Amino acid sequence: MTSIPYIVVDKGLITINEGILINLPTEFFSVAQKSFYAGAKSGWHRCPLGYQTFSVLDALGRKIVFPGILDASQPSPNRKFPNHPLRFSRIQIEKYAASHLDIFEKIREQRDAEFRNLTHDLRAISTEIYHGSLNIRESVERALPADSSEIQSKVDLIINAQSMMSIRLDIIDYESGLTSGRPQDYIQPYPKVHKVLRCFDGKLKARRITWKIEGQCRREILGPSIFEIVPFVIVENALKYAPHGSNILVRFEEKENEIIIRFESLGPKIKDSEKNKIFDRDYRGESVRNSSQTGSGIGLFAAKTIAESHFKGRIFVNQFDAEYWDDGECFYETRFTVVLPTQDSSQNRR
Amino acid sequence: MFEKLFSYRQIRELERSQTFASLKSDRDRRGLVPIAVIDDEAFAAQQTLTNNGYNIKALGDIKTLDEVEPYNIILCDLQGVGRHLDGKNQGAFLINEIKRNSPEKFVIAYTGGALSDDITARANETADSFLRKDADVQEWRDKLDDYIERVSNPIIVWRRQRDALVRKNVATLDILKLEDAFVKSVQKRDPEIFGRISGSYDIKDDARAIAQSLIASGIFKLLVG
Repeated sequence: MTSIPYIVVDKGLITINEGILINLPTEFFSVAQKSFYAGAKSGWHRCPLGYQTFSVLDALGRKIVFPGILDASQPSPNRKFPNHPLRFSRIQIEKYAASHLDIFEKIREQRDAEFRNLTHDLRAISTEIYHGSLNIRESVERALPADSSEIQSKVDLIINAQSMMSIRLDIIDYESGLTSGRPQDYIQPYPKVHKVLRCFDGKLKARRITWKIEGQCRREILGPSIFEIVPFVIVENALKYAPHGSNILVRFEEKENEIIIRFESLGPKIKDSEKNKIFDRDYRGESVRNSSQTGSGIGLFAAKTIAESHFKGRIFVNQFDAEYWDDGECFYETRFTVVLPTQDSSQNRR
Repeated sequence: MFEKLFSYRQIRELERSQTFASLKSDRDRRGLVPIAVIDDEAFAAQQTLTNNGYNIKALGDIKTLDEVEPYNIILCDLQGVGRHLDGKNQGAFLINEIKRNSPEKFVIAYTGGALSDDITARANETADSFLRKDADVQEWRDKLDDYIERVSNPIIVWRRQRDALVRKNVATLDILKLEDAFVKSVQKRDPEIFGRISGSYDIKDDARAIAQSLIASGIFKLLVG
């Protein structure tokens, strides 16, 4: 909050922030005015009402607009408001904007540092849980070689929950732009997909959804250690939209220079016109828009971005015509295909 | 002159260490290569990796680089270590120093922090590889088995040494002489040959300094024999 009103324009989305001490008449936030604020370039401009407007970019690339300034040294406005509250010179507003952007930036840096420390601590806890569980498993196997299956299955639940936590921390890092520095590494997709399915085991069982992987694949892909997010998003979607008691089938296929991974499950209708759009940021298909389902908050947009930008692959969806009815709802066999170029680490081993 | 040049032995005459290749199980191989861990806190994966047959030596936070001298694979945490040497760069400073002094060593950085930290970005310039602290055991095994394989492969060991010599602008003729000595040492299973040649008067000081670490390791006990 600031003493005077300001507007944030972020990727075309306009947010109006009222001032604590001073506010503007509603005419300054009409559709025409908003359209002007959205399009205004950095610096000083005269708005449709004839008042001065100062725009500046913050450290995140968002446009901050200070509207409705009445500067006595500039031409009179088209429309006058009695006792107009924002009577300041350009220099006063520029200094005010600079000091507030500075404060915002310091707060953001502090918050980001706290956030990084938090994820760092959570990873440390996650690591302790994981290795502690493995050590319990080892000890139980030694102490009860004949029948340790019940304890082992409980330990597996802890490990699966830890895997979920680890991937979610990756998602947080990814969404915060903190995975950009991760170096390239050779990754085998098969164990990653298997790990993701295992970590959903409890949730899938609760909905009596079974899963299976067909085919083998030992080949590698090259990219940062965020590949798990791709199968995570797809399996999470399948879990959200597939009917109780259905199946998720993942099929691996190796081609000359590619790995093809197909995720097949039942899902609601995706119209032909939506098959590309579902990979857009914040897009939800017509059939699922009214659904109360929530998830990790990361969408197919992230899966597509990671597959394409980080692994030079591609991802697309197909749906087949056969209808499956369950509890009065119609489902269709839905296949997400991820195609990834393979890399041979032995060629580059130094 | 040219005849002399062609008489130098070349790395392609070597094959992977026979001693190492003859070991059948991964566990046998893992036990032969000690792996140092630099971490100011308890290394959470230590018991898991030991259970998997790895020879893990937790060094804590090191005070001098001499402490890692006996190790050819080093796991280094990025946060909290090396503070007394360089409080700003911490683990990244240690990794840089290890690689500068002993380019043939493999250093794997691991961190629980977001990987765009300044420290990580600096470590990324010199570390051979990265792991997240909460990587699963399969990732640890894949990574460590890969590097155990590399330290036992004379061709890879020499290529890394040669790359370091080239980066230091060591004369091509000196590199040829060292390669010849390296090949003879491995073939005759005598690390002294490499030590003698690199210590001889006709190898320049800069080349000798880089080769010193390899000599000190007895060419890593003749490639994990």
